[in-house]
Amino acid sequence: MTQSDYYFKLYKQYPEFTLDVEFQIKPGEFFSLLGPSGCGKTTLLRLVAGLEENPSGSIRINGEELIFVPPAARQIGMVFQDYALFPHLSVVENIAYGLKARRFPGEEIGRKVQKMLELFELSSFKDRTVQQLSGGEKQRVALARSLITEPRILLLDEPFSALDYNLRARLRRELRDYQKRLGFTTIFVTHQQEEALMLSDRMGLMERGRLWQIGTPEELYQHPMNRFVAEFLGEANFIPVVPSGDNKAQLLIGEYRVPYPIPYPNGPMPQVMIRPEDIAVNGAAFPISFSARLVRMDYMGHMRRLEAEANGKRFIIYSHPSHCHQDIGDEVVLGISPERLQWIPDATD
Amino acid sequence: MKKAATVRILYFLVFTGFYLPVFYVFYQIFLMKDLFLKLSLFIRSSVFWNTLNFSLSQAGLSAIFSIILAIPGAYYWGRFDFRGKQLGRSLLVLPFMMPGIVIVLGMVVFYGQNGLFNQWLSVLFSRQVRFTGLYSYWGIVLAHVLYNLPLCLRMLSESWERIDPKLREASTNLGAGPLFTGCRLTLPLIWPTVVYLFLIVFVYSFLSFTVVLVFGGYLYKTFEVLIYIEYNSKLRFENAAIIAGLQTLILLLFFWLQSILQRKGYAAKPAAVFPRLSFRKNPVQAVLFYLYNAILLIFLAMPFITVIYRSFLQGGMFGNPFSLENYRLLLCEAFRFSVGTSFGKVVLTTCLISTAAGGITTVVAYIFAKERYARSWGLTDLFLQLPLGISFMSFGFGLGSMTGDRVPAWLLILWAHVYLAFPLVYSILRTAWRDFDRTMLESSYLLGASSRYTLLRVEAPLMRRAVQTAFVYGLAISLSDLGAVLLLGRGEVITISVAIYRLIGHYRFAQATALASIFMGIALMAFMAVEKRWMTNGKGRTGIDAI
Repeated sequence: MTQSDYYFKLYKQYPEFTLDVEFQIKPGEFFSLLGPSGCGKTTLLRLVAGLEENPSGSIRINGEELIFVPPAARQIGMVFQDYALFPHLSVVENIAYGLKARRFPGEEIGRKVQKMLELFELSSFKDRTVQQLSGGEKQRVALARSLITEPRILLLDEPFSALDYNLRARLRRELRDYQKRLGFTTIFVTHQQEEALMLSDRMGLMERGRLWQIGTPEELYQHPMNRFVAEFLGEANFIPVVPSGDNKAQLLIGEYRVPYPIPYPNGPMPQVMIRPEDIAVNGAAFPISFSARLVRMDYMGHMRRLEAEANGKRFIIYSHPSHCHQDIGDEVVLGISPERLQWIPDATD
Repeated sequence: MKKAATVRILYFLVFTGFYLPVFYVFYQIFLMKDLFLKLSLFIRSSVFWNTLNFSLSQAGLSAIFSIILAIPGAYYWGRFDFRGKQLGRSLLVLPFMMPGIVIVLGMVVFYGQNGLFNQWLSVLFSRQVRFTGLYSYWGIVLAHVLYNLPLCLRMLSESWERIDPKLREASTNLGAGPLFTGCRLTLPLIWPTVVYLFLIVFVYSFLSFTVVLVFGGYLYKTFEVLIYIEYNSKLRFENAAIIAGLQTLILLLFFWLQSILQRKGYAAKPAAVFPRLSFRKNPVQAVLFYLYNAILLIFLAMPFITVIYRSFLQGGMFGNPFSLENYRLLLCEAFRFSVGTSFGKVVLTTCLISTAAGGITTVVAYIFAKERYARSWGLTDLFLQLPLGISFMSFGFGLGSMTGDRVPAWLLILWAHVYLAFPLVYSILRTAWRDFDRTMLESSYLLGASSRYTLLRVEAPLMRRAVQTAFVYGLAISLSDLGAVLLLGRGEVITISVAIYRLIGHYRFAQATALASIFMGIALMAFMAVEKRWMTNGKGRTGIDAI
C-alpha cells in the first residue's frame, strides 16, 4: 500500500451480522459496494463517514489514520439516499453550508459557490428552496454541497433508489460524467448490479457483513469466486462435472457425460458456471454441444430469454430476437465454448 | 462524557422529582399505627364505597357517551371531504386547551338555572320545561362529555380515515351490504381506537377534580376531591394518605387491565382524496351531517360563546346593555376582596409560573427526547409518561407532606406543573424526534459543522415548531391547573384559575366571565401558535396527535 492509497479495515458486531471487511481503493477511483439489502453496505459507509459509534479497525487516507476522528473533521463527503438537503435553506445556502460551518471568508465562499453553481448547472435555481427542485436537480445540489468542501472521498448511499427508471438512467450517466471530469474518489453503495457494473472502475460484492470479492466489473461478472457472486450479478447456469483422469473432467448433464474433456484444476471443484449469453441455441459447431428441448420463451425487447431442458437439466439462454426462430417444444442443439466455462466451488465458503 | 453525566443527573432528578412524592405516600401509610385497622375501617365505610361507585360509574358513562356521540361525526369526518374540514378538526383541540374552571363557568352560564339554554327552552316550550340537573350526577357527566367529546371525535375520525377505501370496495365487491361491512370490517378496524379512547376518557373522568369539586357539592366526590378535602380542609393527613394509596392501587389495577385489553391498531395511511359531501349527490347524508354539526356546535361551543357574550353585558345579565364594566371591575377593590390579591398580581403570578413551567418542562423533555430518539419505545419512556396515569392529588399530597413548609409554595406549584405537563410535552417532542430525519444532522457534521453550529443552523430551525408546540402545551397545562395551586399554594399563590374559582365562590359571575374571557383569549393565541403545522419530514402534527 502506498501513502496515497485509501485503506479500510473495519470490524463491528451487530445483532444481525458481524461486519468484517478489508479493502483498498485508488485515488480518483469509482468504487462500488454491491450486495443485497441488509448486507451491511450502508453500515460500512456510515463507519467510513464516522457516523457509527464504537468502530474498530483502521481507516487510512493518504497515510492519516481517521478511525477515531469525529465526522466533522474527517473531510469525507456523503450524499445520502434521499439527499438530506436542508429544507429550510435555499439551494445556494445548502451549497455554501459546509464552507460557512468551516468559517471560510465570505469572498471565497461566494467564489466557490458560484463555481459549483456553474459546474452543476444550478445557477437558474440558486434561490429556490429544495422542495421546489426535481429529483435530478436535488442530486446535483447534493453533489455540489458535498464537493464544495473538497472532501478526500465522496460516499454515495444508494442515491438513485427512489427514482423512476428513466431518471435513474440519466442521473447515473450524469454522475459518472461529473466524477470522470472532476476526478473525485468515490465509494458508491447500491443493491442494483446493473448500476454497479455500469458505473464502477472496481467493485466489491458483500453478503452478511462480509466482502466476498473485489475486482473490475468484468472480473466479477465473468470470473465470480463463488455461486453467490455469480448469481447476484446475473442469471447463471451451473453444470456439475466428473473427473475423468489426467487432470481432465467432463460435464454431466443429467446422466449424460459430455464427451469433450475440459482441464480440471486442483482442489475440489465439482461444478462450472456459464452465463446465459454464452450459450448458443444453434450450437452444433461448438466443441461442447448437446441437444435440448425448448420449454419456455420470453420476449424482452433487446433479447429473448429461453429455457431449454436437456436430460432433465434446465438451461437459461439469452438470444438475440433475430437469431432464434424456434418455438416451444422444438429440439435445439446448445453449444458452449470451453473457455467461457468458469469453475465454481460447490459450497459458498 | 460530560453530556452523558448531565443526562444521568437529569434522569435522577426527574425520577426523584416524579416518583419520590408517590413513594412517600406509601411510606407514610406503612409507618402508620394500626394501619390495617384504619384501612379496613375506611374500606368498610360508606365514604369509600360511595366514592368508588360514583367515580367508576360516572367515568364509565362519560367515556361511553363521549364515544357514542363521536361515532356519527367520525363517520362523516372520516369518509367525506367538506368545506372547513381542516379548520374544524383544528378547532376540536380548543376545549382540550381550556382550563377546567372555564369549562365549569361556561356550563354554569349556559346550562345553569338562569342560563341561555334554559331561556331557549322556555321560548321553545314553556316555563315548566327546564334543565335543572347541572349540580348533579348528570351535570358532572355532561361536563366530562363536553371536555372529552372533541378528543374522541378527532381521534375516531382520524382512525376512520386510515381505513383504506379499497377494503370497503373489496367488501362490496364480495357481495357484502353496508351493515355487514360496518360490523365485520369497519368496526373491527376502529375498535382499538375505541378501546383506547374509552380507557383515556375513563381515566380523565375518574381523576376529575375541578368539575366534581364545583358540581358535586357534598354528595358526589371523586378520590381526587376526597384527598383534597381530607388534606386541605379537614387536615386529616392519615386519611388522605390511605385514600391516595388506595387510589394509586386502583389505577395500577386499571392500567394492568388496559395492557391486557389494548390491541395494536390498524395503521394505514389516510386516503389522499375523499368523496365530497354535497347536497346534490347525497342530500340525506348532507342534511344529517350538518344537523349533527349544528347540535355539536351548540353543545360544545355555546358555553364558551356565552361566557364571552355575558362578559360584555352589564352585570353579566341577559337583557342588560353592552358594557366593559365587568373588565373594569377586575381592577377594583372588589376583585381584591373576593380573590385575595390584585388583578395585576394574579396575572403576573400566572404568567411567571406558567412560563417557567412550560420552559423547564420543554427543555428537560427535549433533552430526554433527543437522547432517546434513536431508540425504540421502552420502559424509560413508560416511566417518563406514567405521571399521566398517576393521580395528581396523590402526587400533590405526597409532595406537600414530604416537603412540609421547607419549600416555598410557588416552587412546589412549579414542581407540580412540570410533573403535570411532562408526559404530554415529552410525547410531542419524542414524536417529533422520532420523525426527524437524522441524516440532516449527519450531513451537517460531514460538511464540517460543529455540534453548536449544527444545533443553531439545522436542529433549531427544523425543530422550532415542535418545540413551540410542546412549550405551548406545557404553558396551557400550567395555566389551566387549579388543583395544584389549591393544594400546594397554601392560599399564598393565586393564579387566574384560582381567581375564577374564588369569583364563582363569591357569586361574582360577571367578573368571572370577564376573567375567563381573557383566559380564553390567551388559550386562543396558544392554539393559533400550535395549529401552524410544524414540519418534520413534511408531516404535520399537533400536540393531540402525540397523546
